[in-house]
Amino acid sequence: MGAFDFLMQGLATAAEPMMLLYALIGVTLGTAVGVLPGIGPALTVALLLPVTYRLDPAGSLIMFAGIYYGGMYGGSTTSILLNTPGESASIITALEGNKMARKGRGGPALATAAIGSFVAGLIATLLLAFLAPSIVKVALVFGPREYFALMVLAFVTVSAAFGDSALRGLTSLFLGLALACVGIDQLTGQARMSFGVPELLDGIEVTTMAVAMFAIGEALFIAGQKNQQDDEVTAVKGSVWMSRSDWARSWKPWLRGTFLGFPIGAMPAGGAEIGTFLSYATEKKLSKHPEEFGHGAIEGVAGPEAANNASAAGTLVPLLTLGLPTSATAAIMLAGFQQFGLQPGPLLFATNPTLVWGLIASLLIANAMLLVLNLPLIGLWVKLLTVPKPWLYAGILLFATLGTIGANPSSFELGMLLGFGVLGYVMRLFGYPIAPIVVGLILGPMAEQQLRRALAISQGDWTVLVQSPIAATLLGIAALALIVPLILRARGKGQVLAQLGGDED
Amino acid sequence: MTVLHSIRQAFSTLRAAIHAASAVEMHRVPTARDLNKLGIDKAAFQRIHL
Amino acid sequence: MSVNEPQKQRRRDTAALVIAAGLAVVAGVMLWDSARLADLGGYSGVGPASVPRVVAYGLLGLSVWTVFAALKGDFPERPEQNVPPVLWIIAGLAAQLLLLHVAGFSIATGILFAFTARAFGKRNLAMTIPLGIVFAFAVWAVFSQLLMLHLPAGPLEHLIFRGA
Repeated sequence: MGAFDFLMQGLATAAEPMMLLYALIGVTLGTAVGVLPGIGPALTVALLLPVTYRLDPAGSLIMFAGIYYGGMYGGSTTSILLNTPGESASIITALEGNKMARKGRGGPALATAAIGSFVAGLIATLLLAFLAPSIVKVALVFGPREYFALMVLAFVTVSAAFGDSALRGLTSLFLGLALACVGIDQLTGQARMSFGVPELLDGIEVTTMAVAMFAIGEALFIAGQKNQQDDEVTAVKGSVWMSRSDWARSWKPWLRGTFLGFPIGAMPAGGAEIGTFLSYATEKKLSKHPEEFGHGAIEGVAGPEAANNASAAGTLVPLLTLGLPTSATAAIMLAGFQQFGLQPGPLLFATNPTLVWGLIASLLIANAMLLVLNLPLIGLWVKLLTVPKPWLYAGILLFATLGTIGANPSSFELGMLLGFGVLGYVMRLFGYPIAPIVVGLILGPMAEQQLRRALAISQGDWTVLVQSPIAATLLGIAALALIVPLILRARGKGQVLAQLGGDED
Repeated sequence: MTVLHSIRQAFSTLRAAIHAASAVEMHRVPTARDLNKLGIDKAAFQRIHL
Repeated sequence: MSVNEPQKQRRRDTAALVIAAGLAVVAGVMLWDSARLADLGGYSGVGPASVPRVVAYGLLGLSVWTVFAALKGDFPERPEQNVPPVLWIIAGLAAQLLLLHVAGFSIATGILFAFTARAFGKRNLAMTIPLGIVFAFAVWAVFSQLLMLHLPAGPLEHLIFRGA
């Protein structure tokens, strides 16, 4: 059976009424959190994990994926009408989109963002469906050493290669790996780093950590910021519909954004933002009206919005086929799979095809739902924007602690929540990235297990790790990804320092 | 030479995008150098409420 | 710790040095903990203590690197912070933690709600605390009665839901 048949079967699963309901809840929640500044899809999925614990696995996963897609749609609304990005992936949208809104062209800006997101989501989801079987075929021959190499690659790219500073990225990663060591060793049953505290024997809950980092750390950071501006919503005036020339100027940026965003999402680069920046740069270079950029060029909304949705789908490629999260949201979704005792990867395609293909197919349905939610119903979401900040953050913290208490009503767990929240705050303050610590905590135990399995098979011979061509290549790329940016940075330092005087504001 | 040049251009744009992305993730305004490379006006960027 | 005006002279970054020390302490604790593990390496020679040790050495290395970066002033400038709002939120979380099992979910969480709102500018606690308690109680009712989540009940919850 080809990918097409599987996809059709998946559509049959996803079209069941219950699954449609889960998808609808997911995309509605996703749009809401996308619209609200301060909460993103990673946090929302983390908050929902304890609540969905007893629900249907397929339905819950469909809901999580809907939240992920929905967040990408909703973020653009805030960017355009408020000049405050709802998600970091829609920052670029604010650049041109808010200018358009101020000129009374908010309608077309919202429309090109929503339709572009739909086109990108559709193409990228189909790409996911047709690429997945071939990747799975390759991955089926993977043994422990290949998986170990793959995880090392993910560690390096998430933390060092693409961040601003290798030092801070690696520090964040190693803190995550250190926390991952806490608890009972899976192979020998010995307690590690638990210092006689029974609560620590189970290890550190990924959800507690994620909620602390994304909800509490973020709230503390925002609360501490000086000069908080009062946001004002720019009303949508004039026609919501795009004119003929808007369409003519939008469709190419949509396609280019899709093909920039998809591979970047699939790369372990950590986030959808990169694609949006690239798309903006590309559109500005290729545009026939470069002088309009900075004053509300529709291409600058269409391209980046397509790119961020495409990269959301791209992220799902390594997550579903290899079990490898490449961004914080994907890492939390992996935790979601694990909560139901499922391990995404090539085996899941073989053992539970209904679930995997149902999930992929539901993305197509979710995408169509989102188009309806975000165009005709845009007025409802704009109302959400008027929730005042104090109530918004008070509510976020209430639900953040609710999730933790619901999973484990102990003061110890709440203490960890507070402790990690403060850690997240300090990390933000000093410019440490958050994704590596979360990825380290989730992937750390898996990497350790694969390494020890590989070495047990080889009876302690370390050279076995580089004897398979695939593993050797992956480790080689990881080494290059670690070393090359360091050299480039060291070489570029002279210029950077020379510029610094003028740069600081 | 032009091929090499355009490859280098593409890579430096990619690097700028990566740096800018990691900066905004931490609520910071990316450096003028990265923004320039991406064709973004720094003053306009600072008006966005991060 | 404000570094707002452009300054050519890069001075020693004390806060970053503290971070370096913290990393070294974490590494030390990991090494100490792994030393008392029976290393059942078996065939592979890699036992439960091996990975924590590798991570600990990694952290030590990063700690040294952080010291160098701190001495060179390589850390990015830190955004200026308003301390009181941050402390209000931390106080709210701490209050919830301490009160949760004594006063129940609604009261404890209501206080967290009010303190957080206080941090973002709603200063009238006499108004926000009751509001927070009512809201938290509604949330408690939905999640513990309908979704069967285990949320600690206190006097308020017992008063209204006799069975809880």
